[in-house]
Amino acid sequence: MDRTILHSDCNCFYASVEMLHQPGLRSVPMAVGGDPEARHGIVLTANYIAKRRGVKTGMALWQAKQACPDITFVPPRMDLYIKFSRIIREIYGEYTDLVEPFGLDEAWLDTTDSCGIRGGGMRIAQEISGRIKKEIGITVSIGVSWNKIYAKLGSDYKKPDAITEFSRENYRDIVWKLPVSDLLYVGRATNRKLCNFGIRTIGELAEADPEMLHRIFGKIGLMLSVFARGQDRTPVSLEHTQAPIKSIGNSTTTPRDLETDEDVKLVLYLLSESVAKRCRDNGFVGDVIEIYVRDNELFCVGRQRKIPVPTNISHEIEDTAMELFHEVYHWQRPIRSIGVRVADLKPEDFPYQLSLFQSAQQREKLLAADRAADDIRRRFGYASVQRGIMYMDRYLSSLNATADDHMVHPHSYLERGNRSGAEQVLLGV
Amino acid sequence: MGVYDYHREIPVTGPVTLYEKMPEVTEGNPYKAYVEVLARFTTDGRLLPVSLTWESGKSYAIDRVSSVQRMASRKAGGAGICYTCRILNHEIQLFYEENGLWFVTRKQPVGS
Repeated sequence: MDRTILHSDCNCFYASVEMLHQPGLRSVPMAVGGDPEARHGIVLTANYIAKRRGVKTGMALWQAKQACPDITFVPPRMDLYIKFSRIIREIYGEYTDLVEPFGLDEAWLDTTDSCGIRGGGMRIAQEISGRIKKEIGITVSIGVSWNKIYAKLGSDYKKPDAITEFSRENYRDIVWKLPVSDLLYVGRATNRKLCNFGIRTIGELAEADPEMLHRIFGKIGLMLSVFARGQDRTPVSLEHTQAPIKSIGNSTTTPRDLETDEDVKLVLYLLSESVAKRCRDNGFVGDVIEIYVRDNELFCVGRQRKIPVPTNISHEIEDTAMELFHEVYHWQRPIRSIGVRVADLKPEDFPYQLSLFQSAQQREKLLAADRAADDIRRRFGYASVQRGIMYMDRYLSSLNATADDHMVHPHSYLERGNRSGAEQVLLGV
Repeated sequence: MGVYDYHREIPVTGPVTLYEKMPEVTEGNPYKAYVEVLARFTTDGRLLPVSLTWESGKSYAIDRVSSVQRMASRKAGGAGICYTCRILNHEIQLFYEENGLWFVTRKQPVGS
C-alpha cells in the first residue's frame, strides 16, 4: 500500500517570525542577517518583498543592499526561532509520531496510519496549515505524496501558503515536467553532467536507463533514478531520534583576517580544545584529524590525516592540526575562516595498539590535565583557566567556542545511510 | 560552529533584567502592551490568570476565563497561549508568551 507523506516547509521562516513580532516590517523589504561588523554579514532569510527584488539567501549584506537599497536588516534571534520551531513540531506531533525535521523550518511527516481517523493526506495538510497560521502566525507550504522526494518537490512547487498533492494520477504531468535540478542531490555539477546526456527534466531522468546512470554516477545514479521515478522507499524517522555521531568538528569565521602562523595557532588551539572537550563529553576518541581553511577570497582547502593512536587530548589534536595547516597552506592570502574536525570516532575504551614512540604515561598526564581544566571551567566559567597564547591577542581569543545554543545545522538526507531501496527496486537484489 | 561573543550590553528596560525575561520585541509594536498579571497555579498544574494591572496602575479582576488556546496575534505582533477573559463584562484576550511575560492588544495605537 502507498504511504501518505507530507513535507511541510515554513515560508521564509526567520523573516516570518520577525514580521510577526514587528508588524512594521511586513510591508517593507527586509532580511534577517548577521551583524556586518562581526563579519557574519550574510542574508539568512529575506521576505517575499525583498526576494522579488532579487535578494537571495546567502548574499553578503552589501550585495543585498545593492539589489534593494531600501532593505531593512534585522539581526537574527536564534533562541526565538528555535522556540517557534519546537511549537510547530508539537503540532505535527498531534498527527503522527513519524516526524523527521530537516533543519529548523522543514519536516517530513508520515501520516499513513492516521489517515483513517484524520481523513486523508490533503485533509491533514489543510488542518496543519490552518492551525500553524492561527496559532503561530506564520504560513507553511505543504507537499503531499507517497514518497519523501515528491513530497518535498510538492512543498517547493507553490509558495507561500499552499498545499500541493502529487498523486499517482498527476505526477507524470507535473513532477516529470520540472527541471532535474529541483531534485534533491542534483547540484550544479550533477546537473551539468546530466545535461551533457540530454537529461533536463525529472521525467527524462526517470526514463533514462538505470544501468547507464549507474555507470556514470555509481551508486548515486541508481538512487537518482529511484528518486525521479517516485520509487524512493526512505522511511520517515521517528520523532526525537538522532543519527549516530560520525565526527565532531568546530569551525569559525574570525573577527579579523588571520595573517600569521601565531594567529592561526591561537585560533586552532581554541577550536581544538573545544573539539577535544566535546569528544570527551560524549565518550569518544577519534583517529582522523581534519582541518579546513578558507581565505579571504573564499577559496577553500582541507586536508585530513590518520594518526596512529586514537585521541581526545587537546594537545595532540592541536599539534596534528598545526602540522596539517603547514602542509596545506602557504599564505597566498590572509585567512577568513578555519575549522578542525575529529572523525572515525570510537568509544573511549576501545582497545588500541600502544605506540613504541609515544609514552603512554605522558598521554595519561595530558588527559588528566585536560580533565582538570574541564572541571575548573565547569565550576568557575570558561575564562577561568586559559592558555598563555590566548593573551597574545585578546580580540581573537574572545571566541566563545563552546556556544552550543548556536548549533543549528541542516541534516543530510543520507545522514542515516542510503535507505532509498534503489538496489532492490532497480536491480532486484 | 564557534561564535564570537562580543560581550554586548543587553539593554535593560524597566525592572526586568534577566536575558530570558526580555520582551520579544520592545519597540515597533504600537498595538502591543505588556501588563503585570497575578496568576494562580491550580492543583492539577494549570496556570490561570487572576487579575491584571493596566499601565495606569489600576488592577482589574478577571471574572472568568472562557477559553485557553495557542494563538498568534498579528495586530499586536506576537504569539503565545491566549486566555480569553471576561473583565467588567468585556471580552479581553490575554496572551502568555511563555517567557514570564503577558501582553494584551491595545485598542488605540500607542502615541496616537
